[in-house]
Amino acid sequence: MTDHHIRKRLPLSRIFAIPTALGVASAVGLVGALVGDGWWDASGWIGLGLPLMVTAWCLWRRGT
Amino acid sequence: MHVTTVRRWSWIHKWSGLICTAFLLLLCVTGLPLIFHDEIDDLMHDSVPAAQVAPGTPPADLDRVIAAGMAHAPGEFVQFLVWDRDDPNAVFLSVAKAADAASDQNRAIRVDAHTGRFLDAPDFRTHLTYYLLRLHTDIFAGLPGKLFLGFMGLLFVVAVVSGVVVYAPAMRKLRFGTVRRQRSRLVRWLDLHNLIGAVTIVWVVVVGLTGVINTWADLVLKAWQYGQLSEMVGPFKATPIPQHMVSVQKAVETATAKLPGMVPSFVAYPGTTFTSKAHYAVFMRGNTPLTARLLQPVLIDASNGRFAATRDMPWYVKTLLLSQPLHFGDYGGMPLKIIWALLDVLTIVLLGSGLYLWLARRPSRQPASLPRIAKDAKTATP
Repeated sequence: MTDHHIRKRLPLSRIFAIPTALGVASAVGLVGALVGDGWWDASGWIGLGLPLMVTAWCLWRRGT
Repeated sequence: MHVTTVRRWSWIHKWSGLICTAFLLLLCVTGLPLIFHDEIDDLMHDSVPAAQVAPGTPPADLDRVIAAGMAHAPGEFVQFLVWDRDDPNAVFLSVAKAADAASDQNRAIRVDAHTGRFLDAPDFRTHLTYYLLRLHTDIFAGLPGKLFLGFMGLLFVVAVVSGVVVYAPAMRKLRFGTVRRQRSRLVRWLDLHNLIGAVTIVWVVVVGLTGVINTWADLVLKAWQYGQLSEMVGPFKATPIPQHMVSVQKAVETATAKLPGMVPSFVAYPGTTFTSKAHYAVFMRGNTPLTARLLQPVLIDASNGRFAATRDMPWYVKTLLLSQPLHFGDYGGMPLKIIWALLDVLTIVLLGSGLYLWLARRPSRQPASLPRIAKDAKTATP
């Protein structure tokens, strides 16, 4: 099998590590943009843009 | 996790998802253009622009603004005076056939905030965005439609939460974000479904739940009317609408003096759902994106212009007011709207792939494809 397949079972902490990080980034972005303008808005773009970028990276990377 | 536990959660995930999918697809597809409703309206409908003025130009006297607008609506009544948050140069008048008529058939009249000149009377009910909004909020079925869509939204949240539970066993042996391209279509779509679900979850839950809260807006308004508003109005409850009403300009000045640091958002005229028959309610707002949503009413006696009462909104109204921007995504400029749109598209793919996975895993009517599906279903199911 290719490298995405892992022999050992992953612990829950590994399975949920990246989704949790993206969830926190989204939450910070959702609230941040609400608090103020300028840099606060930018925090929203980054926090909520991150899940989009990760999705794009997963779909476009080769060899999987 | 125990096998029966996983099976139970899979069952919840499957059915909560399947029941709400058709309606969630409707909500996502109509919601997508609604993110850009201002831009679409500007593009599709001509409107008379308000005069561009130097910063600091004083606004026109409100009584003049109202008179200019009402000259184009003889025999009708102002129910609301609304400042356009996106265009500080324009003011809206919402007019009805009677002072205390229901407001759902109101006409809008735009007046220039600085010159006090009539601009136009846009008929929102002929706009494409109006039809999209009705489909999105109540499927043209009023309160029952809203509550039904809210219930679908709750089912969707159940589907998302149960999705998290079944995500773990599915990803036991896979790196995050794996899309097994060389495998069958079913496996590829399962991987895509898992990936999109995992990255969008917080946004999807927030937009979903705030949407559900918005479906309760009518009920929240009723609760406020019978609760706080009726306490504030007190003995004036039985007073009829005054024959002669004082200047709105004066009422707004009195309200602004009471709450310095806030600016007026809209004025509700006596007899409307947002106030009593005896008072103007001047709704004040703050200046940051957050506080701009949190309104505070100041009641002004419409017969003599005296301050009557003001109170901080109760928690349930604040929750509704704050859930609006979080649902609309209109609080972080155009980049946030675009992000909102892209996440909405991902949600459409999430719903579509979920539906496809259910269809593909059902026993096939074509015997030839059975072994392939059986094999894939085995690897695909946790």
